[in-house]
Amino acid sequence: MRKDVRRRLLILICVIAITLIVLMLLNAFDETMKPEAFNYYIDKAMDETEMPNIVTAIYLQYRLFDTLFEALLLSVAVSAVVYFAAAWEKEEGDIENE
Amino acid sequence: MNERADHSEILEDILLFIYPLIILFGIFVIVTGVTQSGGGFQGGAVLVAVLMCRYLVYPDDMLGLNAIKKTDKIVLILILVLGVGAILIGFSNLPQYIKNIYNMVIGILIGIRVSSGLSVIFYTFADIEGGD
Amino acid sequence: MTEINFINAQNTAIVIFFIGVYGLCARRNIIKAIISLGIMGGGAILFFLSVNRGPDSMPPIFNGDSFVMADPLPQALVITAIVIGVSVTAVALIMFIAMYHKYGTTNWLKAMRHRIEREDE
Repeated sequence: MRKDVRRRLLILICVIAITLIVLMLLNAFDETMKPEAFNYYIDKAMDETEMPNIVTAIYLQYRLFDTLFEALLLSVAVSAVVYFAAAWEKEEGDIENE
Repeated sequence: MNERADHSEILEDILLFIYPLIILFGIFVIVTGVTQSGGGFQGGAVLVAVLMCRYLVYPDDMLGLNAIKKTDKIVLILILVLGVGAILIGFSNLPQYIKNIYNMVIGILIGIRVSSGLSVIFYTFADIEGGD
Repeated sequence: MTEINFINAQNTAIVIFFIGVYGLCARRNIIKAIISLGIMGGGAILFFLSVNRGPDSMPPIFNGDSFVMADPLPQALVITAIVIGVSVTAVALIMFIAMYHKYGTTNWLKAMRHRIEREDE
């Protein structure tokens, strides 16, 4: 076979082997998480915050820092996109100009 | 012939009909995020589809980029001030109606923030590859 | 006919994740690598959403009734993760456009060779 076809077949066999190992390890043990945070959120979210939607109450009141930093991350992504689009100039040795 | 190929009338008629329905659905998902499923992030993603519809109908006519950028920056500053202020004041001792107003206001601000941020990214990509 | 119990969300999420890993390693095209990163993100998000959930869980919204609710905490964390995935894809694509106009190829090995040659000049 050609060299790159052999390389891809080797990678495929390795990835399938790793997938089967991980699947068998996951299904072999019967572990359950302790539902302490789950019970707290369901019992007390309606009393402390008067919001029927518990998911919105979590990301607006219990975990407000995640939301604030995610708004900052969106502004970093927008400034990166605008910078790359505006500051791209053609240099002398660019391949498209030759 | 090239003008005919760029501007298709079937798309224009259907999208003119659907355009206000998408805006209404996006605002509905943002505002009723308090009692039903939804919220700021989900409604913001729906509102970006409005700008993509407009790009499909008129590819050459991209207006309003400066207004969207200015809205983006002002809403970011408002979100940061409101969020940090709510943490520093001691949020659980306030009366109930201030909490209701705070929930609604910060939900709407997050929706505007996500929609304007993603539409600035979309406009920048369209400006690079379009035109000429 | 017995029930097939091994098709649930966790096993599907692991299979989707490793399909993304194979797509990342197999070819040298940069666009295929960016698409594979998106697929890996989708697999991880699906695994998080299926935590603590039985076959008859309802969305966690108070109606006045009493029913079995799904877990609200992973859903609130995954909302942020989706927006982060979209931002990373956008920045990677704009960097790829700038690199393509500079080196003229979409193959990362050829671009690396062009860059080494240009440094030697």
